[in-house]
Amino acid sequence: MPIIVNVDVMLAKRKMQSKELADKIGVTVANLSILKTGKAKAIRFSTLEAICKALDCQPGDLLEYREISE
Amino acid sequence: MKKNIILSVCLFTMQILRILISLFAAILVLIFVGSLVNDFPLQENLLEIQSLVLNDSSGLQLHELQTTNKWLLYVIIFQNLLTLTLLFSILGYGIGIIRNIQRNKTFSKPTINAFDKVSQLAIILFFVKFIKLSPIKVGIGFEFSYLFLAFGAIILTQVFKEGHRLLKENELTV
Repeated sequence: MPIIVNVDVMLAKRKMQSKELADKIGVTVANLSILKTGKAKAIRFSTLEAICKALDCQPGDLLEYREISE
Repeated sequence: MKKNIILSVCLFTMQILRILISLFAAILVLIFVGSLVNDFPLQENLLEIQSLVLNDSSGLQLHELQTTNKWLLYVIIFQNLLTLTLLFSILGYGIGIIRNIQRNKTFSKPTINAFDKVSQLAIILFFVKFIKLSPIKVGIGFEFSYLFLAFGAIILTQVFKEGHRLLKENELTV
């Protein structure tokens, strides 16, 4: 998937655990794991907003586009 | 609640139909065995079973038989048993589909496969029923109801495949 979600990077910067973030944004750890491992097909704006609020960052800090070379 | 009642009624009806089909198949087998063992009035009983169970129309008559060949009667029994087996299988898959819906596994792979099998069986049934055999005449006829069942099942297979894809996408939406 060309869109990379850098949740791990932001979690490390904010010194927060995945479980803590999952509880704050109201998703399960499994769902957060789907996001972290790049398996997610889509993300809701409400979820993105909640992550940005919890990690005190911008959507641009979380989302990165990387073209896959074939 | 309403959906569950409708599904339960359908499920019950299909199970009853399956039992009836098994019963008729058993009667046909008994008639066949009876004809082998002793001088059983095969022709009369076969005509009755065919009209009662399979509601066979005569189709386009090709040939009227002057005398009844016993082997033809056996072919008719085989054709009828094959029809009943196919109907039994179709109902089985239908019951499976309803059970999947009741278990909230509506757009699952087993449901898609079940619709696929129903379409295949319905097409086979259409060709099996093409040749209209009876003890006194041979003909051909189209049983469009089975073809429509096949087309309906093919369309539903594609619809449920798309539903499955959307469900998977939704599950991977955070």
